[in-house]
Amino acid sequence: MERKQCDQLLDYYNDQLTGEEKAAFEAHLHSCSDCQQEWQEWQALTEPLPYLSEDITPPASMKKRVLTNVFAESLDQKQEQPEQVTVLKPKPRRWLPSLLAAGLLLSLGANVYLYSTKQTNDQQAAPQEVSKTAQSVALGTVDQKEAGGTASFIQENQATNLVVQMGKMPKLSGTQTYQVWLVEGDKKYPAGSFVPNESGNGSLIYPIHYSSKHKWDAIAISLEPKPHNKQPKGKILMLSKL
Amino acid sequence: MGRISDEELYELVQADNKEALEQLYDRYEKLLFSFSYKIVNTSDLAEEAIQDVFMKLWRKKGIYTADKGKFSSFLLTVTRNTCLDLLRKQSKNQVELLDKDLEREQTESTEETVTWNEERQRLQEAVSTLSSEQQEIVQLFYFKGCSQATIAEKKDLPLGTVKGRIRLALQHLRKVYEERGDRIGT
Repeated sequence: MERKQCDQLLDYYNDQLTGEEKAAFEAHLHSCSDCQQEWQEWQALTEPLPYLSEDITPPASMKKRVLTNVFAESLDQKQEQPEQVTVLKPKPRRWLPSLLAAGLLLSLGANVYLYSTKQTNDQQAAPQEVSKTAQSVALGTVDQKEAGGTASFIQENQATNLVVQMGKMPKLSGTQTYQVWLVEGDKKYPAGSFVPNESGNGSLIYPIHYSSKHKWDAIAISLEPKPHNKQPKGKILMLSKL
Repeated sequence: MGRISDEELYELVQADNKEALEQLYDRYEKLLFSFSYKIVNTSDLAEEAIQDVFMKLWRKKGIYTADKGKFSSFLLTVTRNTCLDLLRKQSKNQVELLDKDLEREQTESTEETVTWNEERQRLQEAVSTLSSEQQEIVQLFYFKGCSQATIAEKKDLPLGTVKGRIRLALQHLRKVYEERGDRIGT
Protein backbone atom coordinates (compact mmCIF):
# COMPACT_ATOMS: atom_id res chain seq x y z
CA MET A 1 0.00 0.00 0.00
CA GLU A 2 2.77 2.36 1.05
CA ARG A 3 4.77 1.59 -2.06
CA LYS A 4 1.76 2.24 -4.20
CA GLN A 5 1.34 5.71 -2.75
CA CYS A 6 4.97 6.55 -3.43
CA ASP A 7 4.37 5.54 -7.03
CA GLN A 8 1.76 8.24 -7.35
CA LEU A 9 4.24 11.06 -6.91
CA LEU A 10 4.57 11.87 -10.58
CA ASP A 11 0.85 11.78 -11.17
CA TYR A 12 0.48 14.12 -8.24
CA TYR A 13 3.14 16.34 -9.78
CA ASN A 14 1.06 16.50 -12.96
CA ASP A 15 -2.18 16.91 -11.02
CA GLN A 16 -3.55 13.69 -12.43
CA LEU A 17 -5.01 12.30 -9.22
CA THR A 18 -8.70 12.43 -8.37
CA GLY A 19 -9.78 14.54 -5.41
CA GLU A 20 -9.70 11.62 -3.00
CA GLU A 21 -6.40 10.24 -4.24
CA LYS A 22 -4.91 13.68 -4.13
CA ALA A 23 -5.88 14.27 -0.51
CA ALA A 24 -4.57 10.84 0.44
CA PHE A 25 -1.31 11.46 -1.37
CA GLU A 26 -0.84 14.85 0.24
CA ALA A 27 -1.25 13.25 3.65
CA HIS A 28 1.24 10.60 2.63
CA LEU A 29 3.73 13.16 1.31
CA HIS A 30 3.57 14.92 4.61
CA SER A 31 4.84 11.87 6.43
CA CYS A 32 7.05 10.11 3.86
CA SER A 33 10.56 11.47 3.82
CA ASP A 34 11.46 9.47 0.70
CA CYS A 35 8.69 11.18 -1.21
CA GLN A 36 9.63 14.57 0.14
CA GLN A 37 13.17 14.05 -1.06
CA GLU A 38 11.98 12.78 -4.39
CA TRP A 39 9.66 15.72 -4.74
CA GLN A 40 12.62 18.06 -4.34
CA GLU A 41 14.49 16.03 -6.92
CA TRP A 42 11.72 16.40 -9.49
CA GLN A 43 11.47 20.10 -8.83
CA ALA A 44 15.18 20.43 -9.49
CA LEU A 45 15.12 18.21 -12.57
CA THR A 46 12.30 20.14 -14.19
CA GLU A 47 13.43 23.62 -13.17
CA PRO A 48 15.24 24.51 -16.42
CA LEU A 49 12.57 23.10 -18.75
CA PRO A 50 10.41 26.25 -19.17
CA TYR A 51 13.43 27.91 -20.77
CA LEU A 52 13.14 25.51 -23.69
CA SER A 53 10.24 27.62 -24.92
CA GLU A 54 10.74 29.49 -28.15
CA ASP A 55 10.80 33.22 -27.64
CA ILE A 56 7.37 34.49 -28.70
CA THR A 57 6.33 38.10 -28.59
CA PRO A 58 2.95 38.43 -26.87
CA PRO A 59 0.19 40.46 -28.52
CA ALA A 60 0.89 44.13 -27.91
CA SER A 61 -2.52 44.73 -26.36
CA MET A 62 -2.31 41.80 -23.97
CA LYS A 63 -0.82 43.69 -21.06
CA LYS A 64 -3.65 46.19 -20.99
CA ARG A 65 -6.30 43.49 -21.17
CA VAL A 66 -4.77 41.32 -18.50
CA LEU A 67 -3.98 44.04 -15.98
CA THR A 68 -7.33 45.75 -16.52
CA ASN A 69 -9.11 42.49 -15.78
CA VAL A 70 -6.94 41.70 -12.79
CA PHE A 71 -7.41 45.12 -11.22
CA ALA A 72 -11.09 45.32 -12.16
CA GLU A 73 -11.66 42.10 -10.31
CA SER A 74 -10.05 43.47 -7.19
CA LEU A 75 -12.17 46.62 -7.50
CA ASP A 76 -15.29 44.48 -7.52
CA GLN A 77 -14.10 42.72 -4.42
CA LYS A 78 -13.44 45.96 -2.65
CA GLN A 79 -16.83 47.29 -3.56
CA GLU A 80 -18.46 44.32 -1.96
CA GLN A 81 -17.00 45.26 1.35
CA PRO A 82 -16.85 49.02 1.26
CA GLU A 83 -13.89 50.56 2.93
CA GLN A 84 -13.50 54.09 4.03
CA VAL A 85 -11.71 55.97 1.33
CA THR A 86 -8.62 57.55 2.71
CA VAL A 87 -7.69 60.91 1.39
CA LEU A 88 -3.98 60.57 1.38
CA LYS A 89 -3.76 57.27 -0.38
CA PRO A 90 -2.22 58.26 -3.66
CA LYS A 91 -2.96 56.89 -7.06
CA PRO A 92 0.15 55.67 -8.80
CA ARG A 93 2.03 58.22 -10.89
CA ARG A 94 -0.48 60.93 -10.39
CA TRP A 95 0.62 64.24 -9.06
CA LEU A 96 -1.22 65.08 -5.89
CA PRO A 97 -0.85 68.69 -4.96
CA SER A 98 -1.24 69.01 -1.25
CA LEU A 99 -1.12 71.77 1.24
CA LEU A 100 1.89 70.13 2.71
CA ALA A 101 3.64 70.13 -0.62
CA ALA A 102 2.76 73.71 -1.31
CA GLY A 103 3.97 74.81 2.09
CA LEU A 104 7.20 72.96 1.72
CA LEU A 105 7.94 74.14 -1.76
CA LEU A 106 7.28 77.73 -0.78
CA SER A 107 9.71 77.28 2.02
CA LEU A 108 12.35 76.51 -0.54
CA GLY A 109 12.27 80.23 -1.21
CA ALA A 110 11.59 79.92 -4.86
CA ASN A 111 8.53 80.35 -6.95
CA VAL A 112 7.64 76.97 -8.12
CA TYR A 113 6.59 75.86 -11.51
CA LEU A 114 4.85 72.57 -11.10
CA TYR A 115 3.81 70.34 -13.82
CA SER A 116 2.86 66.78 -14.14
CA THR A 117 4.49 64.84 -16.87
CA LYS A 118 1.44 62.63 -17.05
CA GLN A 119 -1.29 65.19 -17.08
CA THR A 120 0.54 68.05 -18.73
CA ASN A 121 -1.80 70.59 -17.27
CA ASP A 122 0.78 72.99 -16.09
CA GLN A 123 0.03 75.26 -13.27
CA GLN A 124 1.81 78.53 -13.63
CA ALA A 125 3.10 80.16 -10.51
CA ALA A 126 4.49 83.64 -10.36
CA PRO A 127 7.27 84.38 -12.86
CA GLN A 128 10.79 85.27 -11.74
CA GLU A 129 13.14 82.45 -10.91
CA VAL A 130 11.60 79.19 -11.85
CA SER A 131 12.14 75.77 -10.31
CA LYS A 132 10.97 72.88 -12.35
CA THR A 133 9.43 69.76 -10.98
CA ALA A 134 11.04 67.44 -13.42
CA GLN A 135 9.25 64.41 -12.17
CA SER A 136 6.84 63.62 -9.42
CA VAL A 137 5.54 60.30 -8.22
CA ALA A 138 3.07 59.21 -5.60
CA LEU A 139 4.20 56.91 -2.82
CA GLY A 140 1.91 54.46 -1.09
CA THR A 141 2.76 52.10 1.71
CA VAL A 142 2.68 48.42 2.16
CA ASP A 143 1.11 47.91 5.54
CA GLN A 144 -0.37 51.20 6.58
CA LYS A 145 -2.88 51.84 3.86
CA GLU A 146 -3.61 55.43 4.84
CA ALA A 147 0.00 56.53 4.68
CA GLY A 148 1.25 58.06 1.49
CA GLY A 149 2.71 61.09 -0.15
CA THR A 150 4.81 62.26 -3.03
CA ALA A 151 8.37 62.41 -4.17
CA SER A 152 9.40 65.16 -6.57
CA PHE A 153 12.60 65.93 -8.38
CA ILE A 154 13.00 69.68 -8.43
CA GLN A 155 15.51 71.23 -10.75
CA GLU A 156 16.94 74.56 -9.82
CA ASN A 157 20.13 76.17 -11.06
CA GLN A 158 21.32 72.94 -12.59
CA ALA A 159 21.02 71.14 -9.28
CA THR A 160 18.35 68.60 -8.55
CA ASN A 161 16.71 68.30 -5.18
CA LEU A 162 14.61 65.37 -4.21
CA VAL A 163 11.65 66.49 -2.16
CA VAL A 164 9.70 63.82 -0.31
CA GLN A 165 6.56 64.63 1.62
CA MET A 166 4.72 61.92 3.47
CA GLY A 167 1.62 61.96 5.57
CA LYS A 168 0.12 59.62 8.15
CA MET A 169 3.31 57.66 8.53
CA PRO A 170 3.29 55.14 11.38
CA LYS A 171 5.09 56.28 14.50
CA LEU A 172 8.66 55.21 15.03
CA SER A 173 10.36 54.12 18.17
CA GLY A 174 13.91 54.46 19.44
CA THR A 175 16.42 55.14 16.70
CA GLN A 176 14.09 53.94 13.93
CA THR A 177 14.08 56.12 10.85
CA TYR A 178 12.49 56.18 7.46
CA GLN A 179 15.12 56.20 4.77
CA VAL A 180 14.65 57.11 1.14
CA TRP A 181 16.47 55.26 -1.64
CA LEU A 182 17.04 55.95 -5.29
CA VAL A 183 17.07 52.70 -7.13
CA GLU A 184 19.05 52.06 -10.27
CA GLY A 185 19.15 48.49 -11.50
CA ASP A 186 19.83 46.36 -8.47
CA LYS A 187 21.63 49.15 -6.67
CA LYS A 188 20.07 51.32 -4.05
CA TYR A 189 21.53 54.74 -3.30
CA PRO A 190 20.73 56.47 -0.02
CA ALA A 191 18.73 59.67 -0.43
CA GLY A 192 18.18 60.89 3.09
CA SER A 193 16.42 59.86 6.26
CA PHE A 194 13.47 61.39 8.05
CA VAL A 195 11.40 60.99 11.16
CA PRO A 196 7.77 62.06 11.00
CA ASN A 197 6.25 64.45 13.56
CA GLU A 198 3.53 63.63 16.07
CA SER A 199 0.80 63.74 13.46
CA GLY A 200 2.71 61.45 11.14
CA ASN A 201 3.86 64.06 8.62
CA GLY A 202 7.42 63.79 7.48
CA SER A 203 9.37 65.67 4.82
CA LEU A 204 12.78 65.62 3.36
CA ILE A 205 14.80 67.68 0.93
CA TYR A 206 17.76 65.83 -0.45
CA PRO A 207 20.22 67.48 -2.84
CA ILE A 208 21.03 64.75 -5.32
CA HIS A 209 24.79 64.76 -5.55
CA TYR A 210 25.00 61.59 -7.60
CA SER A 211 26.15 61.99 -11.19
CA SER A 212 23.44 63.03 -13.63
CA LYS A 213 24.39 59.96 -15.63
CA HIS A 214 22.38 57.84 -13.23
CA LYS A 215 19.09 56.72 -14.62
CA TRP A 216 16.85 56.13 -11.65
CA ASP A 217 14.37 53.31 -12.02
CA ALA A 218 12.45 53.77 -8.83
CA ILE A 219 12.26 55.46 -5.49
CA ALA A 220 11.79 53.49 -2.34
CA ILE A 221 11.30 54.12 1.36
CA SER A 222 12.42 51.66 3.98
CA LEU A 223 12.01 51.46 7.71
CA GLU A 224 15.50 51.36 9.16
CA PRO A 225 16.59 50.48 12.67
CA LYS A 226 19.07 53.39 12.53
CA PRO A 227 19.43 56.44 10.28
CA HIS A 228 21.85 56.94 7.41
CA ASN A 229 22.51 53.42 6.27
CA LYS A 230 24.54 52.84 3.15
CA GLN A 231 22.25 50.01 2.11
CA PRO A 232 18.75 49.21 3.29
CA LYS A 233 18.77 46.94 6.31
CA GLY A 234 15.11 47.23 7.13
CA LYS A 235 11.98 46.40 5.24
CA ILE A 236 11.10 48.31 2.10
CA LEU A 237 7.72 49.88 2.74
CA MET A 238 7.11 51.81 -0.42
CA LEU A 239 8.22 51.66 -3.96
CA SER A 240 7.30 53.74 -6.97
CA LYS A 241 8.63 53.32 -10.45
CA LEU A 242 10.07 56.45 -12.02
CA MET B 1 18.17 39.57 -12.99
CA GLY B 2 19.18 42.45 -10.85
CA ARG B 3 16.88 45.40 -10.21
CA ILE B 4 14.60 45.30 -7.28
CA SER B 5 14.29 41.63 -6.60
CA ASP B 6 11.18 39.70 -7.59
CA GLU B 7 10.71 38.76 -3.98
CA GLU B 8 10.75 42.41 -2.90
CA LEU B 9 8.23 43.24 -5.60
CA TYR B 10 6.00 40.42 -4.48
CA GLU B 11 6.07 41.79 -0.92
CA LEU B 12 4.68 45.02 -2.32
CA VAL B 13 2.09 43.16 -4.40
CA GLN B 14 0.83 41.64 -1.19
CA ALA B 15 0.14 45.13 0.03
CA ASP B 16 -1.94 45.95 -3.03
CA ASN B 17 0.78 47.89 -4.83
CA LYS B 18 -0.36 47.84 -8.44
CA GLU B 19 2.90 49.19 -9.78
CA ALA B 20 4.78 46.29 -8.27
CA LEU B 21 2.46 43.83 -9.98
CA GLU B 22 2.92 45.72 -13.23
CA GLN B 23 6.69 45.50 -12.85
CA LEU B 24 6.49 41.77 -12.32
CA TYR B 25 4.21 41.57 -15.32
CA ASP B 26 6.68 43.49 -17.48
CA ARG B 27 9.52 41.26 -16.37
CA TYR B 28 7.78 37.98 -17.02
CA GLU B 29 5.20 38.65 -19.73
CA LYS B 30 7.32 37.32 -22.55
CA LEU B 31 8.71 34.29 -20.76
CA LEU B 32 5.33 33.27 -19.38
CA PHE B 33 3.62 33.82 -22.70
CA SER B 34 6.23 31.80 -24.58
CA PHE B 35 6.13 29.03 -22.01
CA SER B 36 2.31 28.97 -21.95
CA TYR B 37 2.21 28.94 -25.71
CA LYS B 38 4.48 25.93 -25.78
CA ILE B 39 2.01 24.05 -23.57
CA VAL B 40 -1.38 25.21 -24.84
CA ASN B 41 -0.46 26.00 -28.45
CA THR B 42 -2.82 28.89 -28.94
CA SER B 43 -2.37 32.54 -28.27
CA ASP B 44 -5.84 32.89 -26.72
CA LEU B 45 -5.31 30.14 -24.19
CA ALA B 46 -1.82 31.38 -23.38
CA GLU B 47 -3.28 34.79 -22.60
CA GLU B 48 -6.01 33.22 -20.50
CA ALA B 49 -3.38 31.33 -18.55
CA ILE B 50 -1.36 34.47 -17.91
CA GLN B 51 -4.43 36.32 -16.76
CA ASP B 52 -5.23 33.48 -14.34
CA VAL B 53 -1.69 33.51 -13.02
CA PHE B 54 -1.66 37.25 -12.36
CA MET B 55 -5.14 37.05 -10.89
CA LYS B 56 -3.79 34.49 -8.43
CA LEU B 57 -0.78 36.66 -7.61
CA TRP B 58 -3.00 39.67 -7.02
CA ARG B 59 -5.86 38.06 -5.15
CA LYS B 60 -4.45 35.12 -3.27
CA LYS B 61 -2.28 36.90 -0.81
CA GLY B 62 0.50 34.78 0.54
CA ILE B 63 0.43 32.38 -2.40
CA TYR B 64 4.21 32.71 -2.57
CA THR B 65 6.54 32.42 0.38
CA ALA B 66 10.32 32.27 0.38
CA ASP B 67 10.30 28.61 1.41
CA LYS B 68 8.89 27.81 -2.03
CA GLY B 69 12.25 28.65 -3.57
CA LYS B 70 13.02 31.29 -6.17
CA PHE B 71 10.06 33.44 -7.14
CA SER B 72 10.72 32.83 -10.84
CA SER B 73 10.59 29.05 -10.40
CA PHE B 74 7.42 29.36 -8.38
CA LEU B 75 5.85 31.57 -11.05
CA LEU B 76 6.75 29.12 -13.81
CA THR B 77 5.32 26.23 -11.82
CA VAL B 78 2.05 28.07 -11.27
CA THR B 79 1.96 28.95 -14.96
CA ARG B 80 2.53 25.36 -15.98
CA ASN B 81 -0.20 24.08 -13.66
CA THR B 82 -2.61 26.73 -14.92
CA CYS B 83 -1.85 25.84 -18.54
CA LEU B 84 -2.27 22.11 -17.95
CA ASP B 85 -5.54 22.79 -16.22
CA LEU B 86 -6.78 24.87 -19.16
CA LEU B 87 -5.60 22.21 -21.55
CA ARG B 88 -7.62 19.56 -19.73
CA LYS B 89 -10.76 21.65 -19.62
CA GLN B 90 -10.22 22.31 -23.27
CA SER B 91 -9.99 18.66 -24.23
CA LYS B 92 -12.96 17.83 -22.02
CA ASN B 93 -15.05 20.25 -24.02
CA GLN B 94 -13.70 18.68 -27.17
CA VAL B 95 -13.24 22.08 -28.69
CA GLU B 96 -10.40 22.54 -31.06
CA LEU B 97 -9.32 26.12 -31.04
CA LEU B 98 -7.53 27.31 -34.08
CA ASP B 99 -4.91 29.83 -33.33
CA LYS B 100 -5.34 33.21 -34.85
CA ASP B 101 -2.26 34.67 -36.40
CA LEU B 102 -0.03 35.83 -33.66
CA GLU B 103 0.63 39.47 -33.72
CA ARG B 104 4.28 39.17 -34.37
CA GLU B 105 5.21 42.80 -34.33
CA GLN B 106 8.55 42.94 -32.66
CA THR B 107 8.34 44.90 -29.49
CA GLU B 108 11.62 45.98 -28.06
CA SER B 109 12.71 44.06 -25.04
CA THR B 110 13.47 46.50 -22.32
CA GLU B 111 16.20 45.87 -19.80
CA GLU B 112 13.48 44.88 -17.38
CA THR B 113 12.32 41.92 -19.46
CA VAL B 114 13.55 38.49 -18.56
CA THR B 115 15.36 36.96 -21.53
CA TRP B 116 16.53 33.38 -21.81
CA ASN B 117 18.22 32.97 -25.20
CA GLU B 118 21.38 31.54 -23.80
CA GLU B 119 19.54 29.06 -21.57
CA ARG B 120 17.33 28.01 -24.46
CA GLN B 121 20.26 27.36 -26.73
CA ARG B 122 22.02 25.30 -24.13
CA LEU B 123 18.85 23.36 -23.38
CA GLN B 124 18.10 22.72 -27.03
CA GLU B 125 21.59 21.39 -27.50
CA ALA B 126 21.10 19.19 -24.47
CA VAL B 127 17.75 17.95 -25.78
CA SER B 128 19.33 17.06 -29.09
CA THR B 129 21.56 14.60 -27.25
CA LEU B 130 18.47 12.67 -26.07
CA SER B 131 17.00 9.87 -28.15
CA SER B 132 13.79 10.75 -29.92
CA GLU B 133 11.88 8.48 -27.56
CA GLN B 134 13.35 10.31 -24.57
CA GLN B 135 12.44 13.63 -26.14
CA GLU B 136 8.86 12.50 -26.61
CA ILE B 137 8.64 11.24 -23.06
CA VAL B 138 9.84 14.59 -21.71
CA GLN B 139 7.33 16.36 -23.95
CA LEU B 140 4.44 14.16 -22.78
CA PHE B 141 5.38 14.34 -19.14
CA TYR B 142 6.36 17.97 -18.72
CA PHE B 143 4.73 19.94 -21.50
CA LYS B 144 1.55 17.91 -21.80
CA GLY B 145 1.22 16.87 -18.16
CA CYS B 146 0.30 13.28 -19.02
CA SER B 147 -0.13 10.65 -16.31
CA GLN B 148 2.32 7.78 -16.10
CA ALA B 149 -0.39 5.45 -17.40
CA THR B 150 -0.98 7.63 -20.47
CA ILE B 151 2.72 7.79 -21.21
CA ALA B 152 3.02 4.02 -20.81
CA GLU B 153 0.16 3.53 -23.22
CA LYS B 154 1.37 6.03 -25.81
CA LYS B 155 4.94 4.80 -25.76
CA ASP B 156 4.03 1.15 -25.31
CA LEU B 157 6.05 0.81 -22.13
CA PRO B 158 5.41 -1.18 -18.95
CA LEU B 159 3.84 1.22 -16.42
CA GLY B 160 6.51 0.48 -13.85
CA THR B 161 9.31 1.73 -16.10
CA VAL B 162 7.86 5.12 -17.01
CA LYS B 163 9.14 7.03 -14.01
CA GLY B 164 12.63 5.63 -14.41
CA ARG B 165 12.71 6.64 -18.05
CA ILE B 166 11.57 10.17 -17.41
CA ARG B 167 14.09 10.53 -14.61
CA LEU B 168 16.92 9.22 -16.74
CA ALA B 169 16.07 11.60 -19.58
CA LEU B 170 15.81 14.61 -17.27
CA GLN B 171 18.99 13.74 -15.41
CA HIS B 172 20.86 13.48 -18.69
CA LEU B 173 19.34 16.74 -19.88
CA ARG B 174 20.31 18.56 -16.76
CA LYS B 175 23.83 17.18 -16.78
CA VAL B 176 24.51 18.24 -20.37
CA TYR B 177 22.83 21.59 -19.76
CA GLU B 178 25.00 22.29 -16.76
CA GLU B 179 28.19 21.15 -18.46
CA ARG B 180 27.57 23.52 -21.34
CA GLY B 181 26.89 26.29 -18.89
CA ASP B 182 30.27 25.69 -17.29
CA ARG B 183 31.93 25.73 -20.67
CA ILE B 184 30.45 29.10 -21.52
CA GLY B 185 31.75 30.14 -18.17
CA THR B 186 28.73 32.02 -16.95
